[in-house]
Amino acid sequence: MRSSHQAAPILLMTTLIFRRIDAFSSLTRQIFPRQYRTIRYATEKETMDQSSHALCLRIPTPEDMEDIAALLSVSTTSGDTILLDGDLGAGKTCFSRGFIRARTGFEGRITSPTYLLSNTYLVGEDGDKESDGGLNVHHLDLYRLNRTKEDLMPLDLDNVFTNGIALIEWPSRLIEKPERRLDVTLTIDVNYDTNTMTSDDGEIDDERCRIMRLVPHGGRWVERLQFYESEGYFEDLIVDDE
Amino acid sequence: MSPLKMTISLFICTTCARWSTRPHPSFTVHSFSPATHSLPSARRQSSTSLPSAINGTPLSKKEAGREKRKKFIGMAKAVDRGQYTHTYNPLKEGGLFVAKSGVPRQIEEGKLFTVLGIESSCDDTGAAILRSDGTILGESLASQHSIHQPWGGVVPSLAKSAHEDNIDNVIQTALSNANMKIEEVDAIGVTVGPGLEICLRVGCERAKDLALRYNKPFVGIHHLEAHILMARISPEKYNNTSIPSDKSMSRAMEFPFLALLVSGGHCQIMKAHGIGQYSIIGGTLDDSLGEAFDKTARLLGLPVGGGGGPAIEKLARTGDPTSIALPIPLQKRKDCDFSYAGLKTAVRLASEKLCIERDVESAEQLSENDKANIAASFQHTAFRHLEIRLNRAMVIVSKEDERISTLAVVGGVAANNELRSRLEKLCLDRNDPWKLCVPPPRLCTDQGAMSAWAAVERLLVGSSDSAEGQEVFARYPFVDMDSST
Repeated sequence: MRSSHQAAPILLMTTLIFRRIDAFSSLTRQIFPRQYRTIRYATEKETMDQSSHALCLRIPTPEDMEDIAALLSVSTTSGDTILLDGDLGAGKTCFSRGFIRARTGFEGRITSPTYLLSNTYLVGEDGDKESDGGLNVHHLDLYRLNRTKEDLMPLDLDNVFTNGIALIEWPSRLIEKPERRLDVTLTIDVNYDTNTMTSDDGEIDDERCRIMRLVPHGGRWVERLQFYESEGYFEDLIVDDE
Repeated sequence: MSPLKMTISLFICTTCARWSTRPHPSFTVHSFSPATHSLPSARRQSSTSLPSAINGTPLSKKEAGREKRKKFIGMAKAVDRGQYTHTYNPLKEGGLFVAKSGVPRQIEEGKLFTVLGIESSCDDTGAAILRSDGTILGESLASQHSIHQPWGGVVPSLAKSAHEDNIDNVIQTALSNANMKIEEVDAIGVTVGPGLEICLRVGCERAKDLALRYNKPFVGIHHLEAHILMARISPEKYNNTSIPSDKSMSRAMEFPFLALLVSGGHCQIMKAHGIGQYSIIGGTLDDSLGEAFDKTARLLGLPVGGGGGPAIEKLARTGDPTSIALPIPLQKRKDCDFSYAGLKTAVRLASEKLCIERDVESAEQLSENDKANIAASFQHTAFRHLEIRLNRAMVIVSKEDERISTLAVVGGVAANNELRSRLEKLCLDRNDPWKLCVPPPRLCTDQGAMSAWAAVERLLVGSSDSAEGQEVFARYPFVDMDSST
């Protein structure tokens, strides 16, 4: 156990050293704005590893889906990626809507990118900046693509994963996934009564619950999920992970 | 804690892995700021317990959870500071068009001119040489160069669109089909947005390069405007004759008019005031009509090369449209917006139910008759939804501006014959009948001729852009129009 006046010179020296590193790294960031942090992709083994931090939630309504997504969007920044898996109609775009509206404040229509492949939404604040002005949320849908380098190339994924916030529907088409990400899998709860599809006035009322399975990979996502769980934000929705 | 550990925790932020000399709050703690990595302090709310009541009324656990989440989200919610730096607005202040790179001199002389149009906004790359009377002299599509065409017809190939080698091929083929050299073309038009940035850039850079090298007027085209303007090509030009007619200035329809754009990527009703002036009356909240067709086609295991629409249309002809009751979307909303996501799910559920009844595992294994019924019922409901929204738009827009009595229907789904006949009926069965203008099916999909024609229209009103410094725009909204215009 060192006494405090022995620690002081060590602290002083490290301060001097790290000050230089701090200045150097911010200079580097200005010269090579895109490259100061490159994306690490998960190895196959890492992809196979099931995270022990998995969480399972029952989502009763589309509004709850959007709320959970909004929750998860708070304080997201460049390098944050969510992979949205689930069958047709499971709620992937509904989730994305909630996320994007909360993170960007965009009030217009947030539609499915199945055909357009990618929609981007500007996060209008002075936080991290992508090299040409502004942090973006990239909403991608890989449904129509083949799992080939050529089909994925025009989407500029390296840039999207490194510099933007990414929401990717149908991630099974990806060749490699970022090491740090949140895996969200949506399924329709089969245990729910499926008879009520329309209400009396003919409105489409898909009343079935969705089950959302969240598997975080990497520091930020693990911490976020643990925070929300421990602070009780999921308390009414948690179900056992089968 | 040892001094060394203390030092490290001061200087490496565990969240962003940045070196810093300043104490850097880590994730789980302290005051809220969107720019750092912290979350609102939960200690200000009662930390782990859910609110038990609001205004004295007891809350269920679910309601309590919702309240708690909404409060948290409310604190953090971002404010929309404006999404776009670039809107499409070829008109300067004072309402005048500007010919930044000039216009072909033939316009002044009252003669015909030719335009090379390039389109590479998404799936495919196309080029075409168009004469200013709307005659297509030569054209080419990258996907049609593909050796493998397993489904016959156009196979969208994203890779081709983004590949730089293809753009030269496509331009060269279009020129040779027109029997022309690049120097002989009078102007160049290229789609600059909206679309996929990388794909747009391939076409745009090549067009800029050509325009500057050969000193030609250059026009940066808006993809949606290009679709809409196709409806203005006079029908007698569709036969691709090379004999110029006297009626080179005639148009199938005049401004202002109502336009319905329905394709895989777009589903919108727009009021067209004039070149470069459009306002959006209604649009889809989720999926587009083309997408709904495509996904239904895949569900039934139909061939989807080039989009599932044609397959559904074909199958629907032999099916019974009333056999399966599907709910019409958005009946409660009295506006002009669309929604096809719910219908997509309804079709899936109905087919799953049918699968159980027929004792088959998936919809692909259903009988042709069953599939035809599903296709017909889906198509009927999808179109019914469209008719209701469109009718409302027509009523609103007629009241706003009684000059408007023409409907243009454009985009890939406009090729559907059943849609054409139903919309024809919608236009005619009214107190004041409307006129319907739909381009022939082969002009409804993305292709070079779109950009070329839009460039012709822009040049004829004296509008062109500067090739130098022209950028592409993934999002490219129309400028806000005063709806009382």
